[in-house]
Amino acid sequence: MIDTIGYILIALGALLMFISILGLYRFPDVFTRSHAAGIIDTGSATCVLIAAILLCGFTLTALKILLIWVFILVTSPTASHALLKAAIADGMQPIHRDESR
Amino acid sequence: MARMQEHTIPRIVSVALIPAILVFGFYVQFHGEISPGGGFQAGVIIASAVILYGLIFDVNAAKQVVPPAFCRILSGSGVLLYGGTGLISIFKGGEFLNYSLLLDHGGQHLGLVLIELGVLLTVASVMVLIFYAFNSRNG
Repeated sequence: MIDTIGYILIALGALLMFISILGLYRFPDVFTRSHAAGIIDTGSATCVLIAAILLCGFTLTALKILLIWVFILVTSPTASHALLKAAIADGMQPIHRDESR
Repeated sequence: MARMQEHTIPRIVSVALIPAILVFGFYVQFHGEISPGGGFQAGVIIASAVILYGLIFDVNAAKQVVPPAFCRILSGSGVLLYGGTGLISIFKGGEFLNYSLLLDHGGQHLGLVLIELGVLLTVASVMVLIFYAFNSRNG
């Protein structure tokens, strides 16, 4: 039962990764692309790491994976934030809907 | 560097993470013989904590914590430790870095720990020195 949930979560993580890479290629500017890349950082990593915890059971390895997950959850949004702040400081403007059409 | 004061989120996250980065660096170092990692990786991780501190806060603050002169001494002594371990095994009648001759038994382990320690000291201090050198280029 737990194994099945783990496999479903891995599949979900792979799906999120696919969606996010699709967005990374198809979106127009750095802000939307970074938004798409952020899905890998949080959503996909969360799914895959939780699945890994479920699949390896209640061991020390699970605790280490949990720590990795916590650090990814803290650091990846910070990295995206710093990157986009640098983009704004470099003079980039977000594309608005009426301007892009 | 005064502009750094407004970057609230990186500052808060760095303050929370720098001790964890240092602890993880020493974890990688002391488990270097039995798990992936070792002196080089641990040195880079520890240096990255200092570099992060220097990027988020002032570089001068990082220089107060880890002075460049201290780094220079440390980088030299790391090479000395590595080479010295190798030379001791030559003086004991073996090849360069033949750890088995260091002790009657357990020499392999001791030699590995000493080598990794030497690599750690040199890599960490040289990484920090490179960061200081890049920082001092444009004034």
